[in-house]
Amino acid sequence: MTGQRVFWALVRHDMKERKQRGKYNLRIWRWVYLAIIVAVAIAVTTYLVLRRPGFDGRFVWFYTFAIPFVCAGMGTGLVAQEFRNGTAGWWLTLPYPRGRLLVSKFVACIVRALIIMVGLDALFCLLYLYTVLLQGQFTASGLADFLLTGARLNLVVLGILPFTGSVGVTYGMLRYSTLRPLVPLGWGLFGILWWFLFSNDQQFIFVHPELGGGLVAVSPWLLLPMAVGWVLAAFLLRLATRIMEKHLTL
Amino acid sequence: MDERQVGALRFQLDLSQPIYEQIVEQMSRAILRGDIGLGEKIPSVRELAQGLRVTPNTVMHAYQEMERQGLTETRRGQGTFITSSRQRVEAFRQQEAHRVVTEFLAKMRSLGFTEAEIIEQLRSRRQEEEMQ
Amino acid sequence: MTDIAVACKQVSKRYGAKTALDHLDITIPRGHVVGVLGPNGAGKSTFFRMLAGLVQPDAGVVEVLGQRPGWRANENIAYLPDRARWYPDHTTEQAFQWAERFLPAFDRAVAERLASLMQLDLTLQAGGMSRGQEARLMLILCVARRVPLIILDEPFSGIDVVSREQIVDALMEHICDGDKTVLISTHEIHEVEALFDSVIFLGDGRLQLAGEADALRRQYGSMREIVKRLHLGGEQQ
Repeated sequence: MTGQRVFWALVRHDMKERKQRGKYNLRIWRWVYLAIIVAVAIAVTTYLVLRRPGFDGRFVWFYTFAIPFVCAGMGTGLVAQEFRNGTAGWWLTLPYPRGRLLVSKFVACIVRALIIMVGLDALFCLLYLYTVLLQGQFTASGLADFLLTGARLNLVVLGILPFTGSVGVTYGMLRYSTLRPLVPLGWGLFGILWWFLFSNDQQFIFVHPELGGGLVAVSPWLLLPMAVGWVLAAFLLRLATRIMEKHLTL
Repeated sequence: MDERQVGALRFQLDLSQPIYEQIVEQMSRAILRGDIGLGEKIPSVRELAQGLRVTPNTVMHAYQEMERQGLTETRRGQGTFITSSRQRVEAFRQQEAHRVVTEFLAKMRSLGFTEAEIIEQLRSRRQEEEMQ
Repeated sequence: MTDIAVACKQVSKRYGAKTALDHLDITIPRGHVVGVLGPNGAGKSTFFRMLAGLVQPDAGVVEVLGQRPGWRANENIAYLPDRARWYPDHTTEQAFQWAERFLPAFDRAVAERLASLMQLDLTLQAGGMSRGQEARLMLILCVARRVPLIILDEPFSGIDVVSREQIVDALMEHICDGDKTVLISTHEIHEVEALFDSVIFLGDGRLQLAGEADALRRQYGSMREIVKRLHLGGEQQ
């Protein structure tokens, strides 16, 4: 098999939800929770729409800011589950470059985060339609405004995902290496970097509460910290590869 | 001591002794006793190794030893067979008898028995067995 | 290809204050079934992990099949890690698909024949398997590969007698298939010692004794007795 085909097969393998041993009903519970969330969301929005005249549905899009963290968590989980499930020995002796094994997990956690985001996007769009129909105020321009807001924030998150995904994967690798004592230092460093790159969002993301043209405007300058994040992602993945080659604890 | 059966052959393997010697010894006894007939085919190295759960190299070693003693012969493409020559088996039988007697005599002598005493022992033993 | 399957020259490895391997010198010729025996902590697993490229030596030189250990060499090595488990969501069938995709020279037909020989259901999920069934699955994943070197780290630990016998039978099939080098470490010596062409005894990260199995039997007795004697000798010191 060629390297590329092996790589995508690895990604597909990593994409699959892998329950931990002894936790068999995860899939069922996920649907149960999803149903509960949908029910609560419908109840809350119905209440807001009926009781708060100034309710602006576009604000739901700020949920997207949680996605990068979900992505990091999944990156860590993908590495950690190999060790927790006792499959690390198989994974680490696969006859492929170490970097390919890690990048596969990196890509898998990003794709999984994107799938979650797209799913939630669809859900919130349906919820939006429900609210405007409830209010009897559906307009094409209102819908465009709502979608534009979502698209912009989705794009922002897309740009941030590589950084947080690589942080997640690297952290997972670090936890199972002899360099584990560096974990607190790593978190400190991550905090500083995050603050430096993405927490000054008022400079890049502007909120315009008035209707029309989208709730948020994004400055093109946001590309700069994003690009720095991508470079850092490449660096972190190299670092994780290095840890994998030299510093594993088994 | 592990007992293992391969086809008509029964083996008892003692893991504290060299295994190839035990295979040679037990197979040649089976031949001398007539458990395997002259000219009969014996299991392949693979079959015997799998049946006994021993490494095929050991079985191969044993088969080479038996062939060297003239007890077996390999026919190309057909497998390994017990020799069809009665003379050769008889020669081997005599050789084994000679070996056993030599050992027996050496032991008796080391216990201080003279030749006459040894013959006397054998004679009285035969009488005992006849009585039973 | 060289005639040497594994060569270690003055290999040492420490974990903190603990010495795992201490100036180890080992040469293993190709085509042998080799038992690697010794008490817990003797360095058997570290030795195997080093051959699989999971652990780097602090000092010394390791070669497997004429190569330095690492992912490239692993193409020709089937390695069963110690205390390994399988992906719990995979069925036997999916595990075989996985192996076909990722493990070079994996022979699906051989794997399926072994599975039926060992009475392993193709639709059974690893998460629902007994330890014995899971061990059989993982052994098949190693043995069904047409590779020159197989390394099995404790393939029998925690497994019922029937599974053990089935694993030995599957191993026999593999060994009989020709020029294969197999390294096995185990505490269940009695089950497999007749499979060994030669044996290596490790203790405290050092080579204590090595030789052809039948020659060792003539001199010292069974492998189990030798381990006992070496181990007790070590404690008395």
